[in-house]
Amino acid sequence: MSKYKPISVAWEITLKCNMNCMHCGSTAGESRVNELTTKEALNLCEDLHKLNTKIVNLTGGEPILRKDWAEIGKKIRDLGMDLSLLSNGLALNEKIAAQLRTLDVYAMAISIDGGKPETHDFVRGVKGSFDRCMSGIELLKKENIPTTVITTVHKENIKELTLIRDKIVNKAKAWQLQIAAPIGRFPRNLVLSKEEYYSLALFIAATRKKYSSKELAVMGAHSIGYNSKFLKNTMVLPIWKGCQAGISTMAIQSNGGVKGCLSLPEKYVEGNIREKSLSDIWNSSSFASYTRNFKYSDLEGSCKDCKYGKKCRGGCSTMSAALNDKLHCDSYCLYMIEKEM
Amino acid sequence: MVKTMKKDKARIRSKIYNLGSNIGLEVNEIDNAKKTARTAIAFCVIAGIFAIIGLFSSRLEAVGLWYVGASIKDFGMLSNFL
Repeated sequence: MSKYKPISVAWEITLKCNMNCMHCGSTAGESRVNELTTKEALNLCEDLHKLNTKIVNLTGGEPILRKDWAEIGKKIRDLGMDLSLLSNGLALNEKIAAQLRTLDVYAMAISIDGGKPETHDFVRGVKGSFDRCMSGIELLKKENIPTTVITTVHKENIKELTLIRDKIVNKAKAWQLQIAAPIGRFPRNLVLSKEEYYSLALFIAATRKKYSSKELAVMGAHSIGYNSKFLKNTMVLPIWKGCQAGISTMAIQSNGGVKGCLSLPEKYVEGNIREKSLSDIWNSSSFASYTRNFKYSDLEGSCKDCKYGKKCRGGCSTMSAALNDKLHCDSYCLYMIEKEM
Repeated sequence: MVKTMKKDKARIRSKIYNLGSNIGLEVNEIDNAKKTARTAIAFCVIAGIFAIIGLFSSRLEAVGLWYVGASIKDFGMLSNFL
């Protein structure tokens, strides 16, 4: 039995999507071939519960497009696990809002990727989607559902962060900012430069000070932060313990593939629940060896010999793999950027 | 040496202001984003508290990989400290 527990699980329940976002790391659109059946999905909920999972995050594609999403959600809740959904917000309506209310979701995350409607629509590939997503946020507010706005930041929208902020303050409860990684269909030339990345961290730290958590609770995702000498904390917790893929988090694809993190490349799929039990995959001594068996000497590139390397382990594995085809060398690091200033 | 250090500090400060103003932040917002001696000490204390809480709460182990959407409920628990 492994000493690790998949406390937080990201589960792509379908790859089907009604948007065509330029930064989509999963290249979502059509369903995957052979996605899990309802019966398989419900069994998977029980397997997660047995592994001591505390929170299941349903994602996609667009999770709401899967017809049985609420049935899966109910099973998760009946087993006592928290449930959150990551949606693009386009298909939200009153019926879905009522279902979310009944399920008492931990968070409903909606993506807003531009401060101007035309930017959001361009990034998301659907005309009119900004207005529909903002209406969705209003609807969730009316239903008193804990709503998180997620903004994926890149060169096309970094200058509109203050505009987005003005539009969502006192509407969404929380705002998560994350950077677009050069994975899936996202063009590499639109990835933030390191200076723009630093500006983003500065923006998060400034906004946290400007608004109380009641007005707008702002946080950078796992890939924003790390040991700044000059900036206040940008993450939920003031601690970065290194990539948690395979340590406390697990990712499941809609066809049953299992990885440490959904955003890692396909080569990191380490088993399929149709061939092996989830417990056997997770508890295998070889699962996520890149994090579980990390050694200081594994640090690569500019992270080599870093004084924070033992804890940080070279930052976000996805960014590191996407940019360098190697792990443990995510150069999008505040400490490193400050050293170069 | 003191002169060089002062020069470095001024250069970094001006660089940070540039990076903030590039995305529309006002000077006072940039100032508020920066660590002060007081916030740096508070930061260490809070980090220590969370490290201790983390020993007893498995849920906190997953914090740090919120790529699928943190919730206001996390802030409900944490906002008293942050």
